[in-house]
Amino acid sequence: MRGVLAAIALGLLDMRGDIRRFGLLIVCLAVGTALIAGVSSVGASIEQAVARDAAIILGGDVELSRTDRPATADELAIMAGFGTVASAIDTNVRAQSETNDAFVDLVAVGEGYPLVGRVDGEGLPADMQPFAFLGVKDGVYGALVDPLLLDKLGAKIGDTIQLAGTPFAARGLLGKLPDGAVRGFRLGAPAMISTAGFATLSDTTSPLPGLGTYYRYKVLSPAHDADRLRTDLGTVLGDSGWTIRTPRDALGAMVRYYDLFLRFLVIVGLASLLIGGVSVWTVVSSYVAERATVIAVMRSVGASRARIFLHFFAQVATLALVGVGIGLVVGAGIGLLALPVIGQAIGVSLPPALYPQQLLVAAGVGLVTAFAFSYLPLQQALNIQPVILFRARGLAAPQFAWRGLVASVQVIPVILAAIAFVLLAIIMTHDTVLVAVFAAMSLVAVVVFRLATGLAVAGLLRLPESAHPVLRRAVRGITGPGANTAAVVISVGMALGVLIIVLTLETNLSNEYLGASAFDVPTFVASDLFSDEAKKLTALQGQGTDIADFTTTPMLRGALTAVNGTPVAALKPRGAEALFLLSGDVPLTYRGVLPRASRLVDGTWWAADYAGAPLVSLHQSLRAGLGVKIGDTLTFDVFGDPITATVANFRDYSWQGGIDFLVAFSPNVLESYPATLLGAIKAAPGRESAVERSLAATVPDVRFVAIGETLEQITRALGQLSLAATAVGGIAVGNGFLVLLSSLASGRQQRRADALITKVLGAGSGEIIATAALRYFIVAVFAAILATALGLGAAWMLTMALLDVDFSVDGWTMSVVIAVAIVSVAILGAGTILGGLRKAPARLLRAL
Amino acid sequence: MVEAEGGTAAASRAGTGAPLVSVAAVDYTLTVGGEPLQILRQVSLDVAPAEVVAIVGPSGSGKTSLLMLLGGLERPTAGKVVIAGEDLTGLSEDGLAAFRRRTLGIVFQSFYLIPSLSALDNVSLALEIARPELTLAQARERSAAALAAVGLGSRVHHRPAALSGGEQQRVGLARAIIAQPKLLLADEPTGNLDQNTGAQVIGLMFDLARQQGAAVIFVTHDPALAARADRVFTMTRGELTETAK
Repeated sequence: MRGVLAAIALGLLDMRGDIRRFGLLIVCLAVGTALIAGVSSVGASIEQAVARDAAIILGGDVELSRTDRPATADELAIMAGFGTVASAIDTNVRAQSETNDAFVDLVAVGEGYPLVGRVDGEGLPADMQPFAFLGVKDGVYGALVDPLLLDKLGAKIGDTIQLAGTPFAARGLLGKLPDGAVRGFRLGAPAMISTAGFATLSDTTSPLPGLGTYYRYKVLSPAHDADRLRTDLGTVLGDSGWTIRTPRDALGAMVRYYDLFLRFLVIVGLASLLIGGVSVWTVVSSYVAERATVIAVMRSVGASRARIFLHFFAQVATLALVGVGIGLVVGAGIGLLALPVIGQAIGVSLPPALYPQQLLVAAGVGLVTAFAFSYLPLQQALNIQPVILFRARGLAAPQFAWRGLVASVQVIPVILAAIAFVLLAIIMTHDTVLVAVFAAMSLVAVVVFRLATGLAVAGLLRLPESAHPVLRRAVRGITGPGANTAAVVISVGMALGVLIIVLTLETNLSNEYLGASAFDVPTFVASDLFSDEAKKLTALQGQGTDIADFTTTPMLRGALTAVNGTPVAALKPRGAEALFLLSGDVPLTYRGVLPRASRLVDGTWWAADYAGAPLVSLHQSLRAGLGVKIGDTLTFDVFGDPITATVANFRDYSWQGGIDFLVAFSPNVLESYPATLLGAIKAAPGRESAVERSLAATVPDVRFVAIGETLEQITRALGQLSLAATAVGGIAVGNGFLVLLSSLASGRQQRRADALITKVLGAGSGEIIATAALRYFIVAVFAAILATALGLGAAWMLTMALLDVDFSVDGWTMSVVIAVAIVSVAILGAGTILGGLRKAPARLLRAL
Repeated sequence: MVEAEGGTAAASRAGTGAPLVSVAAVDYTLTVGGEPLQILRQVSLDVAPAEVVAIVGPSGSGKTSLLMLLGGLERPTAGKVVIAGEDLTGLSEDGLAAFRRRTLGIVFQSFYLIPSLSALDNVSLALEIARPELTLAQARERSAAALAAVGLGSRVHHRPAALSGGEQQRVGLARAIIAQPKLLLADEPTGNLDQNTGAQVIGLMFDLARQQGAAVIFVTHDPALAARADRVFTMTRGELTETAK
């Protein structure tokens, strides 16, 4: 034992002069561990919150919803057979007071609501359910209203306000809904009425296209597990168009975005650790190579292989503990700071807390990575024989004896470490597929880099040598025996590959977050504008600079009656959009040009002056929702006329871009029918109130809906996520660059010695530097070509399989990053020999 | 100060006018641990073309430092080093590199071969640097001939690790003379070799230098080898004196 401690102590003492060189290794391990610790903590916190507050979050164990109609008595009876049922209806209406009007996010709650939790309302007695509190009193139903709505209406508690044309008494202030997180993004200021009050609304037509009414039923069943309940209810209700959600799938779009962000972080964390491992490999390899003489001396004085291993293992283990320790502290700190912020954003309580299991897993992953990637280079150390003291072996790393290693028991710890890594990664990610994909891609990448480098070197050797001495020597440096080309290509390639993956995923994630935020979010929209009103608004726009943009879209109503000749009554629609389309008269439009905020998903858009047979463009959700494909026909009843159009394309539109239509016809089909206009106005920044006043004065009969504020809030939240993704991606990219630099450590001392000898032979410094720079430029370009192909392939797989968002590549940013990486490698590769050129050679020669 | 008196006489013996090497009152001081450490004191030395000079002396006396100054691998603190008409003290690092490729060949005690290159490529590299106008094939051909001349014709494609110490030193010698330098510097060229091998290498070195008309300055601890030089100098605590043969 004393011997072991002495060996460790000597190993640590021996490291003192080399601490600086290990800085990169510590940073790489710290970044990877910090990301994994932080990500795992946030993920665990959300999981725990969902498990803890599942029923509260959803308002029940499961929620059934549809947009076309309320549940029938039979369906309600089926639901009641599984547990207690409460209903809620979400819709948008207009509110009016004597002086003002406003756009309202209306929730109508039934008896028993909320089944769990409580509505946070001022004026609502604690022992009273909202349904009862909002019942008829003095001849009118009651409403709980958001303070903002009261402000907009210029009303106060006790006043009567109009909701969708029906009077309601404002009986209290509406605070937080217990199931607010699962309601998703809502436009307008919130107000709550009872379902009985909802039945009295005189006009429930959606004030804007694309905004439907959701009939929701919460079922609380203490005897059932939520997933089981969903399955059982689905079986009993059959294929009747109900969407059934558990708390986890109901957590709304924001949670999905955070989920995407977490997945992105996990991938970045794994990638950071992978390239951190590559860094460990190159740093330890070059360290062992440069310490070969020390090892040989130790062996020559009788040190056993175990002693040598202990000597260097103590060093690597210490460095790994430092790196992983820093990573844990940083990761835990980030988790503590970020949890409340994230919780607020997704509407779930995430108190700051430490998650020991997640931190332990992160530490385990970091340490296993350090061990796995340093073990093989340390085995190289054991293979160094004292005989090298008597031979000019140079300062380069000894060739790795793969075959001997693989065939021996020495490989067992690596296999065990790999298994441990995979198991820890699965515990961390809860995603075997992700880990398997990642592991497979890493292995494939190493094999491809190695084989391709071998082939390229063999090809270069067959080429006639260049007459240009700098190029000739650069190529010789790449192809020469003992050259570290494969090691540099693997480490530079892996680092660059990870950079490309992270950049591409970050681009795709940001695209998903920001969607059409490149397009101006309209500040106000109004439906059913007449053409003379539109003209007035165009004139108003021309009068000043307050209105930055004003656009109109024709709008008329029609009902879908048949799909491919089959009456809609015989269809089995799926999803909110399809149900809405079949719910009766819905808003339709016609267009020559695809709007900027829309994106074609399938099919082709028609020519702007198209005048052929009627074509129709559908929102992509209708493909599955109606079970239709391009070429199918839809028949609409428009003003009593049946109009049959062929499906020409499917498109998607980002809600950040404003309001759009599920169905758009080609030109020259609907123009002869009377249509109103959907107007969208973009106010100049800071001029929203002035524009609102101008609109009221110019077209007093038109009711504009102020949607800009809500959309911008959402866009801002997603912008923050996008920024966070960019920041994390930036850290990972920075980490990748560090690994890139550390990869040049391999063989640095030998390159310096070679450069020095070349200088002593009479070569000029410029020539020597140019040779080194060209050598690394060629290697980096080769690595970049492979890394780009592999990185884009991997990014595509991860985007499609794990993020499930659209795939695109930011070619410009990627080109810049790759170019910077190549130039950096060339410059720094040349820079590694500068130390051998700056000083007079004599002293360096003596040190060799 | 002890000045070597024989410079002019040696030049006369060699039958030429100007000396190839002219070292005048050179001091060389290093700073070690913050303290100045004077390595060479007022060293002067003239060497004629094609002359062979040996420098002997105890370890640490400054022999190798003098050789480094002569090779432009270090700069004197004071004094002047002129070789083949070039004042090395006024040259930049690249100027010194150019001087070396035009004028100099160096043989090191520790060989300093590039381990990743074969014997042929190690020699060829020196010729490529010194004579860029040669084609690669020409450089390789001459290098192979030089290796053959030092008895390594059958080992041209072997890397240094596969060669013995004597063989490595012969590669080093071939590399030093391949560009036909005017001056050959050798720092204890036999220090790592046994007596017989050392004698062979030194014999080769002298033969090749004579064939090419190069002057040779070598450092040695071996009195027998030193005795084979035209003149012998002794370095003692940084001071150089000519020793009577």
